Amino acid sequence: MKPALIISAGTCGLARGAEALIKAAKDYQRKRRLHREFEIKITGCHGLCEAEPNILVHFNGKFIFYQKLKPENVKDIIEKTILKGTIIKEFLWFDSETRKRYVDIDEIPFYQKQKRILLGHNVLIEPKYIKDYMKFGGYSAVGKVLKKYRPLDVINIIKKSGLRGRGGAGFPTGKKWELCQKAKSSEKYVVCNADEGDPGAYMDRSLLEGNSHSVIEGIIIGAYAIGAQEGIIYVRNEYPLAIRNLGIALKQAHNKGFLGKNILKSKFNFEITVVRGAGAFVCGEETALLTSIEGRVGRPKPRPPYPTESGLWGKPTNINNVETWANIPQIISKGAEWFSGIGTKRSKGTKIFSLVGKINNTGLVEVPMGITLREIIDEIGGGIPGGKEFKAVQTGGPSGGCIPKSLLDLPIDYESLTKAGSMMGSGGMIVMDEDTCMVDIARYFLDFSLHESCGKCPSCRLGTKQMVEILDRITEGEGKEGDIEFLENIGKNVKLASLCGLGQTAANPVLTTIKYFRDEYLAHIKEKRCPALVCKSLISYVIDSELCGGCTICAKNCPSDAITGEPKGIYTIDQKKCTKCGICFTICPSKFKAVKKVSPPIK
Amino acid sequence: MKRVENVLREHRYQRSHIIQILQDIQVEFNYLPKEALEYVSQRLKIPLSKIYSIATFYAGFSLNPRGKHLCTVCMGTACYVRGAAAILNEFERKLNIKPGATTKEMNYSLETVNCLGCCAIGPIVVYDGKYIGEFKLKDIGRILKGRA
Amino acid sequence: MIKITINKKEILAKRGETVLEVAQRQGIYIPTLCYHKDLVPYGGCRLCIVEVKGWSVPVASCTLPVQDGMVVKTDTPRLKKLRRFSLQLILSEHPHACLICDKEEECVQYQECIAKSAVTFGCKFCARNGDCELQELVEKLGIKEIPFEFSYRNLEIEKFDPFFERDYNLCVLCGRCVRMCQEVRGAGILDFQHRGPETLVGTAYNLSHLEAGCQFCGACVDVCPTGALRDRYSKWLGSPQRSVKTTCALCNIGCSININVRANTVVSSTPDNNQICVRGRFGIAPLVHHPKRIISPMLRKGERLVEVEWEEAFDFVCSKVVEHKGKTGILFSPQLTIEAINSVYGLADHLKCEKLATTSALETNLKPLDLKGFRGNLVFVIVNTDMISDFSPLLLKLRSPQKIKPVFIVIDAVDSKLTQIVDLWLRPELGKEVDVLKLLFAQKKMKNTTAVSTRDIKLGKDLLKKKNIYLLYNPYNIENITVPKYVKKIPLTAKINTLKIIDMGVDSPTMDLLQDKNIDCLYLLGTAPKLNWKYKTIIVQDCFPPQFRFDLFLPTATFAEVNGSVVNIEGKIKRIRKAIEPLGKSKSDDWIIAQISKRLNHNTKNRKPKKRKTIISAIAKTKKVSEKYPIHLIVRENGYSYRGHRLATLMKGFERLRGDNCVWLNNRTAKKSKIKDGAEIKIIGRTLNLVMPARVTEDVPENSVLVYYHPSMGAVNSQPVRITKKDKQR
Repeated sequence: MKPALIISAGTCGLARGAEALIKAAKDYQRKRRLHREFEIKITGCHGLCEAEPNILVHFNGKFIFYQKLKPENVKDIIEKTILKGTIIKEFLWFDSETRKRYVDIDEIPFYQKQKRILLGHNVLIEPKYIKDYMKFGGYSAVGKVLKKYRPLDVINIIKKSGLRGRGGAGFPTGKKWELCQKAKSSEKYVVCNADEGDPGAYMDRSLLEGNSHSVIEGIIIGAYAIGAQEGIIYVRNEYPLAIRNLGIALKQAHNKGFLGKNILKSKFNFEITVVRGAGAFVCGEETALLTSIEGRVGRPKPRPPYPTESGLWGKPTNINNVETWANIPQIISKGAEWFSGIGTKRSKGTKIFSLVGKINNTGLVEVPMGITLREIIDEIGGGIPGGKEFKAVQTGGPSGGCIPKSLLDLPIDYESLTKAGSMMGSGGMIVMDEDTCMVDIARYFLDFSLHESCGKCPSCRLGTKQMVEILDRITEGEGKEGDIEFLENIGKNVKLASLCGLGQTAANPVLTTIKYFRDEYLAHIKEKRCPALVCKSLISYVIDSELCGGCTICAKNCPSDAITGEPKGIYTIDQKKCTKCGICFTICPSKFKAVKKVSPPIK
Repeated sequence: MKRVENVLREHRYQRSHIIQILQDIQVEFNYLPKEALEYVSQRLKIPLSKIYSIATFYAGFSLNPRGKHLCTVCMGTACYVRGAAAILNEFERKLNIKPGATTKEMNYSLETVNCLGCCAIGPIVVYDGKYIGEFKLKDIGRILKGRA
Repeated sequence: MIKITINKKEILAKRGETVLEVAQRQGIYIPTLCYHKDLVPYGGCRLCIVEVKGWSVPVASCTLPVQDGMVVKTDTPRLKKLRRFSLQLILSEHPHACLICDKEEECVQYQECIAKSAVTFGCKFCARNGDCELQELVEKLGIKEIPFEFSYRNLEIEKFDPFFERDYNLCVLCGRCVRMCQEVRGAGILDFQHRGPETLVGTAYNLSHLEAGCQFCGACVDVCPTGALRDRYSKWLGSPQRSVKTTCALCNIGCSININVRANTVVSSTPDNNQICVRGRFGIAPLVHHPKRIISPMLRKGERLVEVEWEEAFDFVCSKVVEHKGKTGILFSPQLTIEAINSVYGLADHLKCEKLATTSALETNLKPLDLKGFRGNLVFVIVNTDMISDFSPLLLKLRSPQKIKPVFIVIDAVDSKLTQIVDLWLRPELGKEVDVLKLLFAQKKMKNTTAVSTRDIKLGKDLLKKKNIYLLYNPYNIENITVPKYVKKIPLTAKINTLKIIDMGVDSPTMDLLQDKNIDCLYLLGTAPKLNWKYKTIIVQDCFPPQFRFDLFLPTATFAEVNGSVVNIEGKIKRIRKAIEPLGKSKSDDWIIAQISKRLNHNTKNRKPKKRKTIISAIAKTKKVSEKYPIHLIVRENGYSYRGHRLATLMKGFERLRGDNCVWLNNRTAKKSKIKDGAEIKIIGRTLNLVMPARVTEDVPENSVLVYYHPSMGAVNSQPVRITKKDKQR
């Protein structure tokens, strides 16, 4: 096979400068007329976002992983690795945990523990070309289904596989399809929920950017099983690249006859359209999503009736999220047994998590269900940067909760996370270290839920508002005795009194942080102290006179002229003038590190 | 209004496309002008109050003209734990506006977004469509100076 | 039928019913707030939650369809706790100081006249005190304290619109008004704006309701559970003590209404389980108690008008009608009761009066409107008639959900609220409306000179295909309508009792009566807009004084103060019931005429008045504009009047809403003639001379002016006129 230069160009790759790498590679190839010697592939995200922008060199059956590159490095890579076969050591991935460099992508610890049945293809497929996907067996599942199976057979396979919805509560996918299939109507819809609203989760974006054909194929199979004639993919407008690639993919699938009338010469007709979301977290809730597709404000509607009976335009509608759909072709191709062989007793297959926050190897990880949090964080994630202490991991976005160190050996599946007070959600996994204040994080999530509330139920609109106000007070040092109990009380009621998933789970971040980090709340309330040194009102910035080098940088940059002192002498911060913007803290040269935060604040 | 009419035609005057229509109008004008919404209301026979309701419900819409430059600070969780709040504060202080507002001379608009899905490289600021990852407080001065 | 269990009781229910409906039918109390029987359930207030066996989370019963074997509990401690929680949260945004005040009982003694405080910060400051669903719920749910921080929205109270005010600081976001406005009225003026904690009910861009095109039907006010939306007139009149079911006589639909009364005062008028319009909702109470009403007989003695007793008044009437026998003309408003109309005819017979006319548009082939006759695949073609303004309750019925959605086409040169909501609006050149109809129904190709594009005509033709077509029009606003036989013509006359008057006949059109020089004594029941010359005697029997000099005024009671009946557009006889005693010395029309008849030795009983030949108002042919008269006059019958008095002249709210006492002028025409909005202008035609303030608008086509008038004054549709600024006062 011809050597290839594989450049990862998802949104985050591009944000880190992948475009320049592409340009450099193309220019060089054209200038030196090297089109025969190697090809350039522009793919979606490879998962290890920490390494962006990166290039994967496919050479002699190996995938050499070069990371954090600059445009000028491209020339070297082509000349040395592609043309001569030598490996450039300094571009190789250096693992902070094992303190080793790795040549092949598969050897990197980040990838070793993963099982990349969905994301794996991102590396090999150029999303612009349907042929790439087909080369790896793409759309063969559609062919198989249309030729060999009746709709009920497909549903049975999915039921047998044990696949559960990857978007939140984990409803068995096969069962949902069955309900929708049974609903009597000449018109039915399938919907792909790509309104990935959980801040901190981006696997759906990555799948759509890197391999939207797998999602499309899943939807076609689902539509066939259910008996739908029309499919809709509801994508966040914040994902322009995903929308673009999806558009290209749909066109190609159409041209190849996987969409449209008489698909693959069968009697099955099916069309997919893309609808863009307009920025409302609540539209991830299925009834809100449907009203949004209908061109209305996304306020959830009471269930029953469920969308499988009466959904889009009052017709039976089956909604699954991107990751769920992407699993379908795999299950059809490789069989239900293969799929149910992965994972735990009740949660089958793999799950993609976005491992972000205070972690060394940030990125998307796809792991079999049942893996422990510790394995993900320590072995795949490579631990916490800067030698800091792990504090908690937040899963499930604003609806989820914070899981403390003591539960790190928890095998991950739907039930265990729910039991811990959190939830699977779409799979955001935000790692927090000792510098993260749990009260502040609870306040952040709740404030998010408050402003994303549609405003319909008093419990959600006003209950979360009351809670945010109390948390505001606590983080400002105005906490009172009884606040914690009051928060718990409101939280439990909000859970029960709200109409939709957003309201019913909005209090989770507060309830779990109270459950696992009560001490931090008490420190805020009783001692007026923020142990993580985050809450502005509870800290002060001071300059350690023993460390201060008198370099004047802090004084020059202080926006409120609160820092005084003589050059080469010792500087001090006037607490009355200080606005606690933190610029001095970040700007103090690392050789001094003289600016410190203290709590409780200096009066 | 010709531009609005073109958008409507592209959507075949379908009322159910109203959200998409508004998005396209926003691409066209950089915000949603009142006249455009009135025109859409008339052409599609959708009550203006309903269109306004949609425009104020979804965070992606702006009813006020935006400035020449648009700074969007991602406030996703990953960015937040990496200090996005301080960045936003500093933008607010430097530009002397709150998120969602535009400076008086119409040079800058400041906005926040819930998550851009680039969590690995947070905190992120999007400046005029360009994603800047691992944004530092001191970068603010740099990009604001580069205005000319 | 299916079986469900509520609170251990087995109940039979119909498929499709909700749990709440079943419980309410069984008398099981479930608290509700956002639920309203006329509206689609919303499930937003979370007070009607119930527990269903097998479900982990409580669900709203208002949206929960019954299922066979469902086991429901409505009254568990958990539900009670959660309901209290939700209501307490709602109250955390609603001024609640009085609701939880322990001195509530004694409060009235201490604080007397605070009701007119500008800001409502407690129930005692709220006009809905005592008639508020929140108060009821607080009592029922036993709320004694609110543990939450109170937050006042601090919004400006919206007082700038006519008829009703809005204090959204009191709003609990139940969305009833929104659903009413959108679902029931199809108006879409109100919607939820913003989201999360900023969610509010309001218009687009916070426009005033006038700017937003509100019809002011008041349906939103009537469903509001709190004091957020309040009828301005009745706001501080206290809560009504009783309601009288009667009929609104202000237009030909004759809606059933309730007149709400406190002491002998009409507080308000509200719909009687139906939809009504602004006239019936906000027009009646201020009309009845209007400061300009005359409630004693007045006789001119020399130059002065003197209050007299009824006896003296009757003596004057009797002497004059005898004196002018054969030379007395009677002009009556159709807005009387049938009984009064009968006695007018009886009196005319007795006086051998051959000069009887009415101030209403008439049409000979008028038949009762059969609402049930509209079946199948319907198209309504509406010509020159703003059905939203004049016939909104009827339009709502026509628009109400049917198996196949009816299609609406409007042909009108003038823009209105109606044109915005119909499927197709054909806007011809003025006077070419009939030609558009011809084009629509033409079999062969025809020359199109109507200014409506051929494409639109084709659209219209397509809409008409294979449908049952009905043509709706006010006969006064369009003449010479000819359509193929398969099109059913439905003339809509604006005034009540027109069917009765068509049946009885009149002697001459109003215009002819007023130009009859042989009349010496004019007897008016109601008013006429303008008299052409001096009469020897003018007798006015009315509620309000006319704009001209008269000799005797006989004060009559309004339809809120009398018993009787009216006949509406459907030919239904509808009861008019006395809500209050006639004000002052005023009396019902039939009583007054009976007294006169008695004094003339005419026995009114058991005698059928004779029928007269029906004469339709003379219609002038459309004339071309000339250099002298370059502008077309558009005349629309004014459906907003009572006994010939414009509601707009009597009540400021109607003036602001309708401006039917103005000349509506196209903005470009106004610019050309240098006329500014609000300026007094003269309209001069061959037989016309009017002075009215101008209103500049885009709704009226260029080179034309529009007036709302009633059919008595010689303002003929499409006649050429010229306009000039009124001369400055010398």
